[in-house]
Amino acid sequence: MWDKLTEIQAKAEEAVASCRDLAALTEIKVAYLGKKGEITQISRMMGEVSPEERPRLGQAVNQTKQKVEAAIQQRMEELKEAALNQSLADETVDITLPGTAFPAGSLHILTTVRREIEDIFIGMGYTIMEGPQVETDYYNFEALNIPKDHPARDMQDSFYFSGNLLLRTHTSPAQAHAMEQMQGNYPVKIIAPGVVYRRDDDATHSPMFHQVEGLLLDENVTMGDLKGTLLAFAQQMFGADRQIRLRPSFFPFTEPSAEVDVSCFACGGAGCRLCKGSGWIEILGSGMVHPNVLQMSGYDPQKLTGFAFGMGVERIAMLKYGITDMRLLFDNDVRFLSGFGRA
Amino acid sequence: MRVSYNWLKDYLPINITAEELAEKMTFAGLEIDEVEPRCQELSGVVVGKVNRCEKMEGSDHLHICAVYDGEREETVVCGAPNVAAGQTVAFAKVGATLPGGFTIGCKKAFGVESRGMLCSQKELGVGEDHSGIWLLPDYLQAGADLVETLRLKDQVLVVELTPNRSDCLGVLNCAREAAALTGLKAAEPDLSYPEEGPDIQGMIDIQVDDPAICPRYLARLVTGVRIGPSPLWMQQYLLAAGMRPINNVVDIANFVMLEYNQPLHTFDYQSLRGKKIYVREAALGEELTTLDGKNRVFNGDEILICDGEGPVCLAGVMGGFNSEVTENTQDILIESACFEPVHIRRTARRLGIPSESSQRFEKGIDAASCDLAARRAAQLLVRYCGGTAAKGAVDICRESFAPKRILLRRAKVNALLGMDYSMEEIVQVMKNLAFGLEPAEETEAVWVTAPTYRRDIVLEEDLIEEVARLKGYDHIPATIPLNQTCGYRNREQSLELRVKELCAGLGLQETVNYSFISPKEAARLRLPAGHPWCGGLRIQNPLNEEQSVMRQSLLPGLLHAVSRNNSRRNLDVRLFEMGMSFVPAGGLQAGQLEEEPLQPEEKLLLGFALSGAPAVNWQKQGRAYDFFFLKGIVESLFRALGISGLRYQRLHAPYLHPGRAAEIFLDDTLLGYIGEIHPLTAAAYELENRTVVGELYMAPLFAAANNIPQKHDLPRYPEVKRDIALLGDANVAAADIEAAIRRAGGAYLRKVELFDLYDGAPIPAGQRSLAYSLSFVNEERTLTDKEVDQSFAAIVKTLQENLHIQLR
Repeated sequence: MWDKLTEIQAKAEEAVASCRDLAALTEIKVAYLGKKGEITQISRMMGEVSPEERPRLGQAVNQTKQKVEAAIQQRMEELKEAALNQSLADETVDITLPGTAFPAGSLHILTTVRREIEDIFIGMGYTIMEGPQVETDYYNFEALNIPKDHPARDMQDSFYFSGNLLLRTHTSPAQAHAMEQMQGNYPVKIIAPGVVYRRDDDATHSPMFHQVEGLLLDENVTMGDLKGTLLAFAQQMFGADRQIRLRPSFFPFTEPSAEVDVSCFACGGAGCRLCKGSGWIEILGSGMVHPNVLQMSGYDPQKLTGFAFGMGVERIAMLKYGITDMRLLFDNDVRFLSGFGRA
Repeated sequence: MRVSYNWLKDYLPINITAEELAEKMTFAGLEIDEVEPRCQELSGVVVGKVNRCEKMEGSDHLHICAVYDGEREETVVCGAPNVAAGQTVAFAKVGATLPGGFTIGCKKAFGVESRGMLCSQKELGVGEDHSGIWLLPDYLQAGADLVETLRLKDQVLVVELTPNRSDCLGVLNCAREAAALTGLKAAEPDLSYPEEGPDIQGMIDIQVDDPAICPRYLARLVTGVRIGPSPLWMQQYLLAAGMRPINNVVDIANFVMLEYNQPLHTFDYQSLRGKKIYVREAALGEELTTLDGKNRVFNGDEILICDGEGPVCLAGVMGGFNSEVTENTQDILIESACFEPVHIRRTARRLGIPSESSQRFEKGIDAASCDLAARRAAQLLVRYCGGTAAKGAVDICRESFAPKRILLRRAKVNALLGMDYSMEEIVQVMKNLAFGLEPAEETEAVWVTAPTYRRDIVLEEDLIEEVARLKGYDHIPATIPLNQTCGYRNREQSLELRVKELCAGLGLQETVNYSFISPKEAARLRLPAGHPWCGGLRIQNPLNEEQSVMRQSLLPGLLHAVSRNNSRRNLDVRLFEMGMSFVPAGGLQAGQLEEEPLQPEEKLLLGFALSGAPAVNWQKQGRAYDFFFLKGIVESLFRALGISGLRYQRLHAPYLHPGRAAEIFLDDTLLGYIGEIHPLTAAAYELENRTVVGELYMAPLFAAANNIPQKHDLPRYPEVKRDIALLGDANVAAADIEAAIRRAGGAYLRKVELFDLYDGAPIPAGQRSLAYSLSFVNEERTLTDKEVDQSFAAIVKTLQENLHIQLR
């Protein structure tokens, strides 16, 4: 009996060790430990041994049983791990295949740039207002100190619907609208982004384009404040190292007036093709609000001063993103639109 | 304006280079586009005398000339048509350098060695004339260096003038500006000359009908002039300014105009009938043959200069043929006048004859300089044409042109500029500008009188700008305004941006199209006459017909964009646009003419156009974009904006597929439409593939948008799911079935989701199978099967009874 037990244990351990799959292992488990298993059989033969021997044999059978169970358990874990490893190996994919395709949307570069501009001025405490695109002569010209037959009207060839109604030629009418809405209260501190129109069409002009107007009206606003505000804008828009330069110019609705150049962000001011060797790039027009404009909109120029500025969104987009032909902005070729695939 | 640097130097002893001056002027507000070199490379060109000139045998146009260069005679072959013996010419010797670095060598033509070249003005770079060689006055010494003799080397400042500084259309005013910038003083031209003729009073009778159209009319008379070429220095100045020398009288008038910014006109005094000048507005239909030989018919708002019998000059624009100075003219009446700008502008525009004269009058001139310019012209006519000046002038001047006094306060200067200039600095700027100064009663202030030619100086702010620009804008510090305000986007502005971002996130590409469209779009969209979109606001002066009507829909622009992409083989097109539409006020009808339209209503729209299919990829073949693809996008958009409860109603629109188009309602508010483009419209736009489009109205959409979900709790009890498969008539709308299920499903029915639709065999024709997944939840306790069974039974009963739909 003892010999048989030893023999069974050896046989069982040998079978477990050589077992190659889980199903066979289960069979082995049944064959030794099942109801009719060999070890179970031995414990049933307990009656055949003497009562004195019984406890010892029982203990031996239990030990054998535990050893075989442990061997099976261990082997089962080994086989499970091997099976998992195998199935993971089988599931290996070519990780260099392209990912699942999602349609890629995009915002128009003009939207992106307009938002950048807006965000900079929102950060400086400006709110946003918009006026009509079909504007009256009064707001587009008269209220901006451009009376009928003023030579400055030559600067802007306009699209007319009638003697009085036209497509606005700039976002500057927003100045008058903003002041009227504020009804004499101040500060007036707005930017006005929007679509404007002029009778021009070539590689650098589009009959429809976008501007952002800015107006700050308050007590003690100086031309230095204009310069500081525009410097902050230029540095956020074009890089922290940028400088700006003001050049005297003329706009009927500002006095003094200034064109504003930013130090070239391509060459840093050393001179390159982008800045035509000058180191500077013109980005916007500005000035101190003309007293006539203040008066017409119900503000006292002796009490308040203000500055205003206007910039072309297309120009800034083209400069910042290296677009050379303005017509591409309105052509809507999906390959161009995808080039600015920021959603 | 093109200003000769040599000419500028006649007024002030500038000791800086033209480039340095250009830089100073640019940063003081007179932008110099370019400093253009003039004859800078020219060398080895001398005055030559053509001693002999013979036709060359074997050539139809060449001549062999013997040219004396002051030392020897050279043989030169010349092809110019005007070459002849006895002429004084510009002779480029062998080794001479012409513009562009072109060097003259020996050349053989028909066996004859040509040593040098006779030059035209263009070949020398002094003018545009290339019709023949440049003929020089005979008094020039043979062999004299041409560049030195004629002071040819020069630089031209090309000035880009802003409208407020039209005074700098006069070289003298440019010199005054340069003086202010350099601290020099500009010398006024010496205007003295002998008046040896009879008194002009009694020789001409001048009347001005209305001083409003002609605030000043001044005339001087110079008799006995000899017409001939003008002095060479004057010709050089004119050429540098871009004007062609004609003869001494015309050139003097042009020279004085360029000098004083005062256009002059010269009449042949003897041709003036009745020795009268009458300035008046034209009568309707009146005619005059102008200098260019064209017969002009007037419409009544031109200003005419008439003599005793009729018009002799179109004031400020062009002279009349009948009073023109010809080579036989002896007596010259100089007109130096000031005409009303708007009349001149309209006339020059209408007749299409803008001139150096009209553009100056249009911008407004200094009436005070009429007298100076007339004196200058008389002086030059006496000096260079051998004329005799009559005594005095006739001056019809009803207004005083005395300049206005302006108080300039130091406090205001510094408050506006953010500077701390002293009174001395401010006064010094005024002095440099030669502005008149008088002490003021106030301290730290001064009364300033700007000269009459500075018509742009009206207010204290104008003087402050003078201080700022002459001291230099770069001195102004960069400061940040002291006020503190909150910046933000309002609700609509934030939503606009949010909607655009959602659209891009849903895979659409944003486009920007022009707001004006073609009137032909109506036909492409198959719109019937009288459709509201046919009556868009029309631009009176469009660039072209294709861009002449304000859009009321984004569709045409989007469809053209799809078409343009298709033509470039971009077949996967998913576009959106957020843009304004312009709805005419007062319901303007198609074809209806309205002289004075009202401001339109500007409505913000969101448009879509999807065409083609996603590009084929290794995982799957993309499904073509269709009605449901776009509907899915629109539904996602609404969901993201927190808008629910939409109703789709079949839409019949001429440009849309009648079976695949819907209007979208929220309660009774129309939010927009979606649909597939009608095949005929697709053909009109040359679309390659089926295209689905849509437009949403942003105002009601924004009003409905509810960005923050109102419910935050998760259900605490499990939901129970039941599937229901139905069979019924294919014409019963899915929306009606869903509504019936929801009505009958009771309070616990939460979700009704269609998960299968089938109408193939064995489903009978005209029927379809729909399978829905239903889920039930009770917020207070776990639902029993019995409760769900009851709801399910109620749903089945309702569907059977109301819609004749059976369980499958």
